[in-house]
Amino acid sequence: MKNFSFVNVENKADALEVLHREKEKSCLVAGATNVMPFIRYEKINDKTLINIRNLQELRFIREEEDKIEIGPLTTIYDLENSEIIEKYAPALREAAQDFADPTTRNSATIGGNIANASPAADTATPLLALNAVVVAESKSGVRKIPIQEFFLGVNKTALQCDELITVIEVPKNAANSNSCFIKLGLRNAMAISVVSVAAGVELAEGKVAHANVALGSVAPTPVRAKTVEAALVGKEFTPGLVEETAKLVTEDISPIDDVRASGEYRKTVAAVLVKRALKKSGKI
Amino acid sequence: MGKMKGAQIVGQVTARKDGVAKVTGQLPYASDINIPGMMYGVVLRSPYAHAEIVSIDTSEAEAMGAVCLTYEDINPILYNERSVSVPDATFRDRTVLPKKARHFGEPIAAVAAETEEEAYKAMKALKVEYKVLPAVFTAEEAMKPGAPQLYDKVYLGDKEVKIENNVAVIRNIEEGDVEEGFRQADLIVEETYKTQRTYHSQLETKGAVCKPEPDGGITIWATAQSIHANRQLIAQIYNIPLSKVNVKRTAIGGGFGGSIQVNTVTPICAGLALKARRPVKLISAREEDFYSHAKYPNIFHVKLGVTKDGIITAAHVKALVEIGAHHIQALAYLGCVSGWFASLYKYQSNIKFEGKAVYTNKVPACALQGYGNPDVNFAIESTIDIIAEKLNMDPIELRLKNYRGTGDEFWGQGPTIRSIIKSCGVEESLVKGRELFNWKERTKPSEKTGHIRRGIGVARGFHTSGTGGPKEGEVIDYSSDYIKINEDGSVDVVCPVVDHGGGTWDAITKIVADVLQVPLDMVEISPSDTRTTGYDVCTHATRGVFCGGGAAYFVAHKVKERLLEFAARIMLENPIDLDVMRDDELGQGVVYVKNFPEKRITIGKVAKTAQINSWGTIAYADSYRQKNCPPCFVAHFVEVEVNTKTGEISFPKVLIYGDCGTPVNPDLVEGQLIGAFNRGMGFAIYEDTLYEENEIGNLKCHGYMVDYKTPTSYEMPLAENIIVRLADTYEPTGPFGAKGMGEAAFSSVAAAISNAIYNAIGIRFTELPLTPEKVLKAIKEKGI
Repeated sequence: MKNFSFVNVENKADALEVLHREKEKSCLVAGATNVMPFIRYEKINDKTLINIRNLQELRFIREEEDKIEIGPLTTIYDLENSEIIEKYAPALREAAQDFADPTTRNSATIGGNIANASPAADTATPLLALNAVVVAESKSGVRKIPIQEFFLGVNKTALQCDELITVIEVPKNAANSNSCFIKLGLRNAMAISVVSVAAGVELAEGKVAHANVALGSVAPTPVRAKTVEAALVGKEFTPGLVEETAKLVTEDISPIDDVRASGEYRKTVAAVLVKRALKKSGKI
Repeated sequence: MGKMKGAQIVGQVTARKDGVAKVTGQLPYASDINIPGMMYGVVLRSPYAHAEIVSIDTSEAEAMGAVCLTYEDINPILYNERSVSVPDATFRDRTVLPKKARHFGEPIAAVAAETEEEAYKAMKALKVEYKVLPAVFTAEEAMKPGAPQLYDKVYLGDKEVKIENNVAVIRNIEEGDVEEGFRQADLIVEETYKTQRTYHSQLETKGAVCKPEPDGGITIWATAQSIHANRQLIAQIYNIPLSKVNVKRTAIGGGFGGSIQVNTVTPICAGLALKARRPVKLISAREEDFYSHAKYPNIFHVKLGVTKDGIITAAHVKALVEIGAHHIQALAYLGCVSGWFASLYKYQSNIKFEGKAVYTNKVPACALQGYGNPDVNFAIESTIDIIAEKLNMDPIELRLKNYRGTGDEFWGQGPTIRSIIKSCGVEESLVKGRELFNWKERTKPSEKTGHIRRGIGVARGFHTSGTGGPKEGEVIDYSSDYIKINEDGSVDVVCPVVDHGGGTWDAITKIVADVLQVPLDMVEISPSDTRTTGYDVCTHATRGVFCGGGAAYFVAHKVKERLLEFAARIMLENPIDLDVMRDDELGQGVVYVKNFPEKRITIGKVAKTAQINSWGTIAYADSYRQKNCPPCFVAHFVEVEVNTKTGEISFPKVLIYGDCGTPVNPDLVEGQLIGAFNRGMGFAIYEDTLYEENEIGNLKCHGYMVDYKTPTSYEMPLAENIIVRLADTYEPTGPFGAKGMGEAAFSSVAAAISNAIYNAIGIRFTELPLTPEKVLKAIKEKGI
């Protein structure tokens, strides 16, 4: 019915080969939970679908000395059920638990979720707050892209057309281990977020040593709440401080009106969610 | 209809007969039908809200091998897709394919090809030249001078009707002395309410498979709530004798009123099949189905007068209804809405209703579970709470003083179909309900604090059971059955009634099993079609059990008479001395002598003897009209939590009280009540179909469910906090005391939720849906 060709690859080397050959025509398919609707809406047309679903070598969650490594083919279900994720990146686990519905979670992958670069992608917000690093590989080599530089716009990333995500790295630190995720959607399951917030706070002697706050669905890409973070660091972590600083989030976001909510509503609830997330992460 | 002694199957929880076939995917729906040589149909839909079709060039599609259907192929007969009203009360404004597109997504042309893919490509190759016209999207705008006009004229029956300012129909009804009633009032409350256009979200999208027959006839499998309505319309459009148009009854994946009318795609599919002279399958994608139907949106202005003692003395309701691009019977709709309003309370019989329905360039609106009842219920039941507060009276007491109950008149289908209420569970529901729900612990909005505020609210509602009345009115209502006893004592029921999934077929088999006193697994509903059955109007108006089951009850009694005659010949007794009883040990029904029960013979033995002796088959066929339309009542007690920081609403607890007379299957009634509560939550706080109000005029959600959220099980109260009770009533005119439930279950959910929200935060909402955003805005304005 639609114009696309289809290539099945069984290992990473083949995938890089096909990406090199097809270049701009490449469209990687893992869980296919975005690609299938895109084909139907004719958002994907005249592409070569490269099926990487069977690349089991890229499906892993590993603990290293100073970081954890997540393979791009790791499903959302895997994230939800991993003790490593629970321990070092709880925000990511909570996002996985709020992700769509169980059938989608069984199929969708973390690599696909961030490569699609929806501003509402549920794993993007926590990865941004966790200061993750995306490792991309092509026939010409490997490079590391800090997550802050990864998302360029709606459905646009820093990936070249011949690149494949091979690892997502998340540093091991106290802020990340304290992290949490809160999503507000139009209903509790199978909903695209109206606003999502991930936050990780590290305290030292009652004061904020590190504060990482990211939001989804409030700008063309997931964004860091830099004003909020700056207002927190070095201060004594109290409910009053959280209350005051959470309001500053409107400086960091530029939400639009769409079919799900108005920009005005998003601004209001973003502050509420930031407050909740900071309190949860800092355990007050 | 009489009570039956002995262990009655009606009233027991029994496993659904179609359950195994459904859960194993073996029950065929229209889209499961595949015929050798079948082609696939695809519809080209209008890319504009309003446009003249200047020309359609099919040459490229035909060169690809496709069969194309345009208005030039179509008999330009004007019709209304809905045929439950008598012809003189039915507006006609449409043809199978139009010369002018009146809403985005309206079918313009269709193609059939060897595969779905080829058909889709051929559809894309059709070249249509449009002359785009200005479009109009709201009733208020459409009535203004100079607004774009959708029609110059339409027909009411055979009478030409000129359309001015897009007003499709006006219906005013007045009874008693409204002015005098308002003079007697100590308090008059007026308020305006708006309800939105929701989409039915039925599981099965509309589709059909049509097979032309060698004799010039056609066989049809279609998504349908009435097989006979489909047969009659196709026969009329394509000028084929009814005897050669056979519509097969299939399972249907939910109706909710969206297929009371013959679906737009069905005559298109038939046209393709007749032109191609090959079978054609045409199934709507979800994003096409969204452009096929929606609920009527309404603006109600309500004025109620009440004495200081809480007696409502007069009521005046004005309704402005935006119907979209075609008339799927707004005349009947306005009549019914007046009836739902009029039948809720007594108003000392001083009632005035002014209804106006207006065309716009939107998807045609049609019935959705309640036919305006949940909408006008939201308006009236909100106003009742406003009055109760102003009078400083308990809202339940105010309702108990004024409701229409036993002995009062009920309008089952507008002003022309009325009957007297003979069974009523309103008082039980409200009185026992308030105890169960700890109503007396309810606090005032001003006493609540914190950012999570709990409130409880109540509303009561009802729906008709069927559209029969002692006097025939403008709505057709009867059903037909052919029931026969087989030679082993088992029973075949051949009936035209469609089961939406609510268990109507099961109810019919249970009723027949109890009349003939045979075990339930000895009664089956036969596959049927329009050739083998008499007429049944439609499974709508909550009439499946009361009217469909009522006809089966009547015909089964006739079969029983024949059975007793044959048994009497064998037993050398007088038939009036005989009766039947179920013998579970034998797994058979038996005929016995009333004063000497030891003398007995199995029903199977009677039937077999009748066959061997060439006496004939024990069978009977007839039609039957229920001459009543008893209301089935509900009451909803809802607890909500409102988050004053985000406007989110959640539902910790609900009590649903239902009155369906005898529940034929209590589990299925409970399922209806809980399912409808979920749908009511959708209506109250989630759902709306919003339009881009420009010359394109598409839905903002594009017909994708991803942007049309309905509540899931996640949003429901926890299972242990969903309490369902059934009132202990018996409807004397129903089969074994049964009346309906389906639409009543939905009727008062939104009003109860809105009343609970008021109790939580002290804000009265008058426009649905109450989205978090709307709620938060109101909270900010009030400064909570």
